[in-house]
Amino acid sequence: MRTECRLLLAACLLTSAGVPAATPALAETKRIFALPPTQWDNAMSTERPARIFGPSDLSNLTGGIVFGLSPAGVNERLPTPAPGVEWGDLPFANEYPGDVRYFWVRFDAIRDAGNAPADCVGASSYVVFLFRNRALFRVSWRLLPDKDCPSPRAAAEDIYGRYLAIDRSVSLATHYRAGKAEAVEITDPNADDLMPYRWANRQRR
Amino acid sequence: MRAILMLLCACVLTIPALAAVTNAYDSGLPPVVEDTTKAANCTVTWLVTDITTNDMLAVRMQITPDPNDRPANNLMPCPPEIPPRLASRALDACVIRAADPKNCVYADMARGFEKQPKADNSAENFSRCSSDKASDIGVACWLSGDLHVCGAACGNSPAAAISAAVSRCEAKHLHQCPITGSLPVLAPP
Repeated sequence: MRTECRLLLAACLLTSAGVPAATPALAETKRIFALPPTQWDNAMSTERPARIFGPSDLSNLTGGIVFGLSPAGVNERLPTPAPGVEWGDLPFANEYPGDVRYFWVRFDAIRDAGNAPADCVGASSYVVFLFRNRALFRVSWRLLPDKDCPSPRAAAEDIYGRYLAIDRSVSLATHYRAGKAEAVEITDPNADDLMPYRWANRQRR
Repeated sequence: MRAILMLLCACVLTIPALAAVTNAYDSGLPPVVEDTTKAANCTVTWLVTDITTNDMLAVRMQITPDPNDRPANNLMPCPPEIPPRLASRALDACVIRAADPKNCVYADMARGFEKQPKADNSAENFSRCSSDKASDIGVACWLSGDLHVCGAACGNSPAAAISAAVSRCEAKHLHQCPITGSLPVLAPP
Protein backbone atom coordinates (compact mmCIF):
# COMPACT_ATOMS: atom_id res chain seq x y z
CA MET A 1 0.00 0.00 0.00
CA ARG A 2 2.81 2.36 0.99
CA THR A 3 4.65 1.59 -2.26
CA GLU A 4 1.53 2.30 -4.27
CA CYS A 5 1.12 5.65 -2.49
CA ARG A 6 4.72 6.53 -3.28
CA LEU A 7 4.23 5.60 -6.92
CA LEU A 8 1.08 7.71 -7.05
CA LEU A 9 2.91 10.65 -5.46
CA ALA A 10 5.81 10.29 -7.90
CA ALA A 11 3.39 10.21 -10.82
CA CYS A 12 1.70 13.37 -9.51
CA LEU A 13 5.07 15.12 -9.14
CA LEU A 14 6.13 14.15 -12.67
CA THR A 15 2.85 15.39 -14.07
CA SER A 16 3.04 18.68 -12.23
CA ALA A 17 6.61 19.13 -13.48
CA GLY A 18 5.18 19.29 -17.00
CA VAL A 19 3.73 22.36 -18.69
CA PRO A 20 1.83 24.42 -16.13
CA ALA A 21 -1.71 24.67 -17.38
CA ALA A 22 -3.46 26.56 -14.59
CA THR A 23 -3.28 30.06 -16.09
CA PRO A 24 -2.88 30.18 -19.84
CA ALA A 25 -0.23 32.68 -20.89
CA LEU A 26 -1.22 35.52 -23.19
CA ALA A 27 -0.74 34.57 -26.84
CA GLU A 28 1.51 36.87 -28.83
CA THR A 29 2.69 36.82 -32.42
CA LYS A 30 6.42 36.72 -32.93
CA ARG A 31 7.62 38.67 -35.90
CA ILE A 32 10.07 36.88 -38.16
CA PHE A 33 12.18 39.04 -40.46
CA ALA A 34 12.82 37.45 -43.85
CA LEU A 35 16.14 38.21 -45.52
CA PRO A 36 16.62 38.06 -49.30
CA PRO A 37 17.54 34.46 -50.23
CA THR A 38 20.98 33.39 -51.37
CA GLN A 39 21.64 30.99 -54.22
CA TRP A 40 24.17 28.17 -53.73
CA ASP A 41 25.64 26.00 -56.42
CA ASN A 42 24.88 22.29 -56.43
CA ALA A 43 28.08 21.45 -54.55
CA MET A 44 27.12 24.05 -51.92
CA SER A 45 30.55 25.66 -52.14
CA THR A 46 29.76 29.13 -53.50
CA GLU A 47 26.87 31.51 -52.99
CA ARG A 48 25.49 34.69 -54.48
CA PRO A 49 22.36 36.76 -53.90
CA ALA A 50 19.39 35.01 -55.52
CA ARG A 51 18.10 38.38 -56.69
CA ILE A 52 20.12 41.37 -57.83
CA PHE A 53 19.58 44.54 -55.78
CA GLY A 54 20.81 48.01 -56.63
CA PRO A 55 20.84 51.56 -55.24
CA SER A 56 17.38 52.14 -56.71
CA ASP A 57 15.95 49.56 -54.28
CA LEU A 58 17.34 51.66 -51.43
CA SER A 59 16.25 54.90 -53.04
CA ASN A 60 12.68 53.60 -53.30
CA LEU A 61 12.56 53.20 -49.52
CA THR A 62 14.39 56.37 -48.52
CA GLY A 63 12.72 58.82 -50.87
CA GLY A 64 15.78 59.21 -53.07
CA ILE A 65 18.54 59.15 -50.46
CA VAL A 66 21.40 56.77 -51.31
CA PHE A 67 24.88 56.17 -49.92
CA GLY A 68 27.58 58.42 -51.31
CA LEU A 69 25.43 61.56 -51.46
CA SER A 70 26.95 64.76 -50.10
CA PRO A 71 25.35 66.49 -47.08
CA ALA A 72 23.78 69.02 -49.44
CA GLY A 73 22.55 66.20 -51.68
CA VAL A 74 20.84 64.46 -48.76
CA ASN A 75 19.39 67.73 -47.50
CA GLU A 76 17.82 68.65 -50.81
CA ARG A 77 16.03 65.29 -50.92
CA LEU A 78 14.34 65.86 -47.54
CA PRO A 79 10.70 67.02 -47.52
CA THR A 80 11.76 70.28 -45.86
CA PRO A 81 15.44 70.99 -46.58
CA ALA A 82 17.27 72.98 -43.92
CA PRO A 83 19.21 76.07 -45.06
CA GLY A 84 23.01 75.90 -45.24
CA VAL A 85 23.77 72.20 -44.82
CA GLU A 86 27.37 72.00 -46.06
CA TRP A 87 30.21 69.63 -45.12
CA GLY A 88 32.33 72.40 -43.59
CA ASP A 89 29.56 73.44 -41.22
CA LEU A 90 28.65 70.01 -39.90
CA PRO A 91 29.51 68.93 -36.33
CA PHE A 92 31.89 66.01 -35.77
CA ALA A 93 30.51 62.62 -34.74
CA ASN A 94 33.07 61.98 -32.04
CA GLU A 95 32.07 58.40 -31.37
CA TYR A 96 33.61 57.44 -34.73
CA PRO A 97 37.31 57.33 -35.64
CA GLY A 98 38.54 59.87 -38.20
CA ASP A 99 36.60 62.71 -39.71
CA VAL A 100 32.97 61.69 -39.51
CA ARG A 101 30.30 64.41 -39.52
CA TYR A 102 26.55 64.47 -39.24
CA PHE A 103 23.34 66.40 -39.31
CA TRP A 104 19.99 65.36 -37.95
CA VAL A 105 16.30 66.05 -38.47
CA ARG A 106 13.29 65.38 -36.30
CA PHE A 107 11.59 62.11 -37.08
CA ASP A 108 8.30 63.93 -37.58
CA ALA A 109 9.91 66.14 -40.23
CA ILE A 110 10.49 63.17 -42.52
CA ARG A 111 7.62 61.02 -41.33
CA ASP A 112 5.49 61.75 -44.36
CA ALA A 113 8.31 61.13 -46.81
CA GLY A 114 7.79 57.70 -48.23
CA ASN A 115 7.34 54.77 -45.90
CA ALA A 116 6.94 56.02 -42.34
CA PRO A 117 5.85 53.42 -39.78
CA ALA A 118 2.27 53.55 -38.53
CA ASP A 119 3.32 52.71 -34.96
CA CYS A 120 4.07 55.36 -32.35
CA VAL A 121 7.41 56.98 -31.57
CA GLY A 122 8.22 59.56 -28.89
CA ALA A 123 8.02 63.19 -29.98
CA SER A 124 11.78 63.73 -29.59
CA SER A 125 12.74 60.91 -31.94
CA TYR A 126 15.10 61.90 -34.72
CA VAL A 127 17.09 60.70 -37.72
CA VAL A 128 20.84 61.22 -38.12
CA PHE A 129 22.72 61.27 -41.44
CA LEU A 130 26.41 60.41 -41.06
CA PHE A 131 29.14 61.29 -43.57
CA ARG A 132 32.77 60.36 -44.16
CA ASN A 133 34.82 61.94 -46.92
CA ARG A 134 31.76 64.13 -47.61
CA ALA A 135 29.73 61.05 -48.52
CA LEU A 136 26.73 59.54 -46.71
CA PHE A 137 27.58 56.15 -45.20
CA ARG A 138 24.89 55.68 -42.53
CA VAL A 139 21.34 56.68 -41.69
CA SER A 140 20.39 56.20 -38.04
CA TRP A 141 16.81 56.30 -36.76
CA ARG A 142 16.77 57.02 -33.01
CA LEU A 143 13.37 56.32 -31.63
CA LEU A 144 12.79 57.57 -28.11
CA PRO A 145 9.92 56.73 -25.76
CA ASP A 146 7.77 59.31 -23.99
CA LYS A 147 4.50 59.36 -22.04
CA ASP A 148 2.42 59.07 -25.20
CA CYS A 149 4.58 56.30 -26.61
CA PRO A 150 6.14 54.20 -23.83
CA SER A 151 7.71 51.81 -26.35
CA PRO A 152 8.76 52.69 -29.89
CA ARG A 153 9.73 49.06 -30.48
CA ALA A 154 7.00 48.28 -33.01
CA ALA A 155 7.99 51.30 -35.10
CA ALA A 156 11.65 50.26 -34.91
CA GLU A 157 10.77 46.74 -36.05
CA ASP A 158 8.74 48.16 -38.90
CA ILE A 159 11.65 50.25 -40.18
CA TYR A 160 14.11 47.40 -39.61
CA GLY A 161 11.91 44.92 -41.51
CA ARG A 162 11.69 47.17 -44.55
CA TYR A 163 15.44 47.62 -44.87
CA LEU A 164 16.18 43.94 -44.20
CA ALA A 165 14.40 43.24 -47.49
CA ILE A 166 17.37 44.75 -49.33
CA ASP A 167 20.42 42.58 -49.83
CA ARG A 168 23.40 43.38 -47.61
CA SER A 169 25.54 44.06 -50.68
CA VAL A 170 23.55 47.30 -51.07
CA SER A 171 22.63 48.24 -47.50
CA LEU A 172 23.22 46.57 -44.16
CA ALA A 173 20.40 47.08 -41.66
CA THR A 174 20.95 46.79 -37.91
CA HIS A 175 18.66 47.15 -34.91
CA TYR A 176 19.67 47.57 -31.29
CA ARG A 177 18.56 49.10 -28.04
CA ALA A 178 20.21 52.05 -26.36
CA GLY A 179 18.67 52.34 -22.92
CA LYS A 180 14.94 52.55 -23.48
CA ALA A 181 15.44 53.95 -26.95
CA GLU A 182 15.49 51.88 -30.13
CA ALA A 183 18.04 52.43 -32.88
CA VAL A 184 17.71 51.23 -36.46
CA GLU A 185 20.59 51.92 -38.82
CA ILE A 186 21.40 51.29 -42.44
CA THR A 187 25.06 51.36 -43.37
CA ASP A 188 26.91 51.44 -46.67
CA PRO A 189 28.60 48.01 -47.01
CA ASN A 190 31.65 49.85 -48.38
CA ALA A 191 32.07 51.45 -44.94
CA ASP A 192 32.16 48.16 -43.06
CA ASP A 193 35.11 49.36 -40.95
CA LEU A 194 32.63 51.74 -39.30
CA MET A 195 30.03 49.03 -38.76
CA PRO A 196 30.89 48.34 -35.11
CA TYR A 197 30.44 51.96 -34.04
CA ARG A 198 27.06 52.52 -32.50
CA TRP A 199 25.03 55.17 -30.85
CA ALA A 200 25.59 55.42 -27.12
CA ASN A 201 22.38 56.95 -25.81
CA ARG A 202 23.24 59.19 -22.89
CA GLN A 203 19.59 59.86 -22.19
CA ARG A 204 18.91 56.58 -20.35
CA ARG A 205 15.36 57.18 -19.22
CA MET B 1 1.14 20.96 -114.87
CA ARG B 2 -0.64 19.12 -112.07
CA ALA B 3 2.65 18.83 -110.15
CA ILE B 4 3.30 22.54 -110.53
CA LEU B 5 -0.19 23.36 -109.21
CA MET B 6 0.30 21.12 -106.14
CA LEU B 7 3.68 22.76 -105.43
CA LEU B 8 2.10 26.20 -105.67
CA CYS B 9 -0.66 25.20 -103.22
CA ALA B 10 1.92 23.86 -100.77
CA CYS B 11 3.84 27.15 -100.93
CA VAL B 12 0.68 29.21 -100.31
CA LEU B 13 -0.17 27.09 -97.26
CA THR B 14 3.36 27.32 -95.84
CA ILE B 15 3.94 31.07 -96.18
CA PRO B 16 1.57 32.20 -93.35
CA ALA B 17 3.18 29.74 -90.95
CA LEU B 18 6.63 31.00 -91.84
CA ALA B 19 5.43 34.58 -91.44
CA ALA B 20 4.15 33.82 -87.94
CA VAL B 21 7.55 32.48 -86.90
CA THR B 22 9.28 35.48 -88.45
CA ASN B 23 6.91 37.88 -86.69
CA ALA B 24 7.63 36.25 -83.33
CA TYR B 25 11.33 36.98 -83.77
CA ASP B 26 10.59 40.49 -85.09
CA SER B 27 8.77 41.37 -81.85
CA GLY B 28 11.98 40.61 -79.93
CA LEU B 29 10.58 37.52 -78.22
CA PRO B 30 11.71 34.02 -79.09
CA PRO B 31 8.86 31.63 -79.90
CA VAL B 32 9.06 29.94 -76.52
CA VAL B 33 6.11 29.27 -74.27
CA GLU B 34 6.90 30.01 -70.64
CA ASP B 35 6.96 26.91 -68.46
CA THR B 36 4.73 27.93 -65.59
CA THR B 37 4.98 24.52 -63.96
CA LYS B 38 8.72 24.74 -63.27
CA ALA B 39 9.47 22.99 -60.00
CA ALA B 40 10.76 25.17 -57.18
CA ASN B 41 14.42 24.71 -56.36
CA CYS B 42 15.32 23.34 -52.95
CA THR B 43 15.28 26.01 -50.27
CA VAL B 44 16.63 25.47 -46.79
CA THR B 45 15.45 28.06 -44.28
CA TRP B 46 17.05 28.67 -40.89
CA LEU B 47 15.76 30.76 -38.01
CA VAL B 48 18.44 32.63 -36.08
CA THR B 49 17.99 35.23 -33.37
CA ASP B 50 19.76 38.06 -31.60
CA ILE B 51 19.21 37.52 -27.87
CA THR B 52 19.61 41.21 -27.00
CA THR B 53 16.72 42.34 -29.20
CA ASN B 54 14.85 39.01 -29.69
CA ASP B 55 14.86 39.84 -33.41
CA MET B 56 14.36 36.60 -35.32
CA LEU B 57 15.74 36.36 -38.84
CA ALA B 58 14.73 33.83 -41.48
CA VAL B 59 17.70 32.96 -43.66
CA ARG B 60 16.73 31.23 -46.89
CA MET B 61 19.29 29.39 -49.01
CA GLN B 62 18.33 28.07 -52.43
CA ILE B 63 20.37 25.18 -53.76
CA THR B 64 20.88 24.63 -57.47
CA PRO B 65 19.61 21.16 -58.41
CA ASP B 66 21.76 18.44 -59.87
CA PRO B 67 20.96 17.85 -63.58
CA ASN B 68 19.78 14.35 -62.67
CA ASP B 69 17.39 15.52 -59.95
CA ARG B 70 13.70 15.06 -60.68
CA PRO B 71 10.94 17.02 -58.95
CA ALA B 72 8.38 15.48 -56.66
CA ASN B 73 5.14 17.37 -56.00
CA ASN B 74 6.57 20.23 -58.05
CA LEU B 75 9.53 20.61 -55.65
CA MET B 76 13.13 19.78 -56.41
CA PRO B 77 14.72 17.50 -53.80
CA CYS B 78 17.09 18.92 -51.18
CA PRO B 79 20.49 17.38 -50.47
CA PRO B 80 20.29 14.76 -47.73
CA GLU B 81 23.20 16.38 -45.89
CA ILE B 82 23.58 20.12 -45.32
CA PRO B 83 27.23 21.11 -44.80
CA PRO B 84 28.01 22.95 -41.55
CA ARG B 85 29.31 25.95 -43.52
CA LEU B 86 25.77 26.71 -44.68
CA ALA B 87 24.51 26.67 -41.11
CA SER B 88 27.41 28.90 -40.16
CA ARG B 89 26.55 31.30 -42.97
CA ALA B 90 22.98 31.39 -41.71
CA LEU B 91 24.18 32.46 -38.28
CA ASP B 92 26.40 35.07 -39.95
CA ALA B 93 23.26 36.91 -41.09
CA CYS B 94 22.74 37.73 -37.42
CA VAL B 95 26.42 38.12 -36.52
CA ILE B 96 27.10 40.90 -39.04
CA ARG B 97 24.23 42.89 -37.53
CA ALA B 98 24.85 42.21 -33.85
CA ALA B 99 26.83 44.32 -31.42
CA ASP B 100 28.52 41.14 -30.21
CA PRO B 101 28.67 37.91 -32.29
CA LYS B 102 27.99 35.98 -29.09
CA ASN B 103 24.48 37.43 -29.09
CA CYS B 104 23.50 35.31 -32.09
CA VAL B 105 22.01 31.84 -31.65
CA TYR B 106 19.84 29.38 -33.56
CA ALA B 107 16.13 29.56 -32.78
CA ASP B 108 15.80 26.10 -31.27
CA MET B 109 17.18 26.47 -27.77
CA ALA B 110 18.18 23.86 -25.21
CA ARG B 111 16.58 23.44 -21.81
CA GLY B 112 18.15 25.92 -19.42
CA PHE B 113 19.10 28.25 -22.28
CA GLU B 114 17.95 31.22 -20.20
CA LYS B 115 20.74 30.51 -17.74
CA GLN B 116 23.42 30.08 -20.40
CA PRO B 117 22.26 31.93 -23.49
CA LYS B 118 24.86 31.02 -26.12
CA ALA B 119 24.97 29.43 -29.57
CA ASP B 120 26.30 26.13 -28.18
CA ASN B 121 23.01 25.79 -26.31
CA SER B 122 20.96 26.04 -29.49
CA ALA B 123 20.40 23.36 -32.14
CA GLU B 124 21.18 24.23 -35.74
CA ASN B 125 19.50 21.14 -37.22
CA PHE B 126 16.19 21.76 -35.44
CA SER B 127 16.27 25.41 -36.50
CA ARG B 128 16.03 24.65 -40.21
CA CYS B 129 13.43 23.26 -42.57
CA SER B 130 13.86 22.01 -46.15
CA SER B 131 11.31 22.80 -48.82
CA ASP B 132 11.04 19.18 -49.98
CA LYS B 133 9.90 18.11 -46.51
CA ALA B 134 7.90 21.06 -45.16
CA SER B 135 6.15 24.16 -46.43
CA ASP B 136 6.50 26.24 -43.24
CA ILE B 137 8.89 26.83 -40.39
CA GLY B 138 7.48 27.72 -36.99
CA VAL B 139 8.75 29.01 -33.70
CA ALA B 140 7.25 29.14 -30.21
CA CYS B 141 8.77 30.96 -27.26
CA TRP B 142 8.29 31.82 -23.63
CA LEU B 143 9.51 34.96 -21.94
CA SER B 144 12.28 34.65 -19.37
CA GLY B 145 12.78 38.21 -18.15
CA ASP B 146 13.38 40.06 -21.42
CA LEU B 147 14.62 36.98 -23.27
CA HIS B 148 12.54 34.93 -25.70
CA VAL B 149 13.40 31.26 -25.10
CA CYS B 150 12.21 29.27 -28.09
CA GLY B 151 11.74 26.00 -29.85
CA ALA B 152 11.45 25.61 -33.62
CA ALA B 153 9.83 23.02 -35.89
CA CYS B 154 8.67 22.33 -39.44
CA GLY B 155 5.16 21.70 -40.76
CA ASN B 156 3.07 21.56 -43.87
CA SER B 157 0.99 24.59 -43.01
CA PRO B 158 1.60 27.65 -40.81
CA ALA B 159 -0.68 26.17 -38.12
CA ALA B 160 1.07 22.80 -38.25
CA ALA B 161 4.53 24.39 -37.99
CA ILE B 162 3.47 26.53 -35.03
CA SER B 163 1.74 23.60 -33.33
CA ALA B 164 4.88 21.45 -33.71
CA ALA B 165 7.03 24.30 -32.40
CA VAL B 166 4.74 24.82 -29.39
CA SER B 167 4.89 21.10 -28.59
CA ARG B 168 8.66 21.07 -28.89
CA CYS B 169 9.11 24.24 -26.86
CA GLU B 170 6.77 23.16 -24.06
CA ALA B 171 8.17 19.65 -23.86
CA LYS B 172 11.73 20.91 -23.76
CA HIS B 173 11.39 23.97 -21.58
CA LEU B 174 8.47 22.86 -19.37
CA HIS B 175 6.83 26.22 -19.87
CA GLN B 176 3.86 27.40 -21.82
CA CYS B 177 5.16 28.87 -25.09
CA PRO B 178 2.54 31.43 -26.15
CA ILE B 179 4.75 33.64 -28.34
CA THR B 180 4.53 32.09 -31.78
CA GLY B 181 5.28 32.79 -35.41
CA SER B 182 5.80 31.07 -38.74
CA LEU B 183 7.05 31.72 -42.24
CA PRO B 184 6.95 29.81 -45.54
CA VAL B 185 10.15 27.88 -46.24
CA LEU B 186 10.15 29.02 -49.87
CA ALA B 187 10.80 32.66 -50.62
CA PRO B 188 7.96 34.43 -52.40
CA PRO B 189 8.46 34.42 -56.18
